[in-house]
Amino acid sequence: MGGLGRVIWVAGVVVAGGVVAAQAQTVDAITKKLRETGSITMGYRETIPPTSFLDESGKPAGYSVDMCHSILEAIRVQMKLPALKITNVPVTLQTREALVANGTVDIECGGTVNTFARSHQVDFTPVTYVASNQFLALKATGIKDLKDLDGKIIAIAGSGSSVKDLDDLIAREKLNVKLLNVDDHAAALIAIESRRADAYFSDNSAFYGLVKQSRHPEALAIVGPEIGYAPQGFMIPKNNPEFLWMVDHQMAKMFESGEAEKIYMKWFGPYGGSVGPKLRAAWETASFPE
Amino acid sequence: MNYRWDWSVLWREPYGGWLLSGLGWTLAVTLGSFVVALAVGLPMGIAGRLPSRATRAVASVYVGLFRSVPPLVQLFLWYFVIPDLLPDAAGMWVKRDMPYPELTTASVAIGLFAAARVAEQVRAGLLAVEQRLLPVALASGLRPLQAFRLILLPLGLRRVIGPLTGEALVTMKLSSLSLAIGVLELTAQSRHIENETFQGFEAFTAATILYLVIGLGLTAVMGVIARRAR
Repeated sequence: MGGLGRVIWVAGVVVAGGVVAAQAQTVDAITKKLRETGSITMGYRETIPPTSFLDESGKPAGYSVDMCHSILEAIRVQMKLPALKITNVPVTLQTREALVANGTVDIECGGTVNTFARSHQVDFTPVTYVASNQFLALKATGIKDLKDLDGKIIAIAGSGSSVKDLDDLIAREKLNVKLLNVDDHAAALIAIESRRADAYFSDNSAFYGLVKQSRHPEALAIVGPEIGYAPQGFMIPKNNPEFLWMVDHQMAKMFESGEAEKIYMKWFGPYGGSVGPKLRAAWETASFPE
Repeated sequence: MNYRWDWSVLWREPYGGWLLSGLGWTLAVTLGSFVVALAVGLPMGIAGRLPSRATRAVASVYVGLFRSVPPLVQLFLWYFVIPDLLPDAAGMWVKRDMPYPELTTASVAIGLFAAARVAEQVRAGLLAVEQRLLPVALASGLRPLQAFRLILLPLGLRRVIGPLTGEALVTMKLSSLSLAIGVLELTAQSRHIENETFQGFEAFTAATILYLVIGLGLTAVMGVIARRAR
């Protein structure tokens, strides 16, 4: 059949392209670029305040962006570069990994959860933030804890990383709930505000931005226990051991000196956040002696 | 490029299962919306050639409206806006109790968009046979409505089967839009795998090939139907 032949042919071309692309790797491309041109590309997220977002003036801002600026400035001093030119590249959930893997972005300053599956593909810096899953619900639903969820509809980003935690929770607590798939945080907010769903189960670091974005923030509540451990870090392309070492080193200094906590409180303090025990432990673990 | 290829994500559990389930939802949305497209598009296309001015006006308003608004916008309107315009009880039913809410909404939204295109194909098919055969049919003693029902309609529809292949492919491709309202179809599941494993190239390659296979399959099926009808 001609159709099948065409399919095999296309698949063959794609695989061959992949093999060629995978072989073109150089070690320490980022530090080489820094030395030669004094420039670096920083990836940021546009819509996750207060972690990484565009501020009113249209510039990247937030906790991750400040952390990265501080790290990069320290690296500039260490490498004795006269000036550092930072090019900002916006990334999304869909593009972040590809842009880091293909070298468009040298350091991704968003909020990406570090997992072993992912760190096979890109390198991660030490932990910058520890998220867990929680429920966001309208106060009017009366949901305050897990037991109030009986017979309710829970919105979940069906292709996100909270799915497994929710499945486990439902099985463990024998929850009688219906699930509603949503595509992203914004759709989830509409779903609970329009009563299509009663609660949204997600990474709670997203809730700050969602509550802020809502037209009736006072009607929303973050409820239930914190579930799961989702440590976030910045992504760096593989094969950059020198750059990764410098970043690890500078971050350890920021953890020890209290600078990291100061930046954390600047952005999360207004939301009532503080450095929790898990994040504190991660920071202490990453602070190796000189 | 610092990318480690790992084609095993395509069959390793649970990712292989995600792809298959995505394929299932893609087929369901494609089939659902194509059924809606035919169910609405055929009558609308026929209405567009009936001798009544009123039915022609209805058909042309429908086609103008549904063909001119981007299908993604239509999908959002059906999902986010229409339920809130309904009376409270009906709106809440659509939002909370309707069976397969995302699949149903996606089939209706994509189907009604594709119906406008189907209607135009049907109208064009009827017009093509009408010019040649209507005078002949009338001369043979048939009344206008009989000529329409017995001659123009069967011959006109037969002509449309070929162009309808294109419309079936359109609904297949538009089915990927339904991820925006939470249908975990093929594209959504590829993103799911990408997000989970960071092996996006493998996942999207698999999706591309599966879409290609569905597309070529649809073309083959429509080709058989067209041959049978000749």
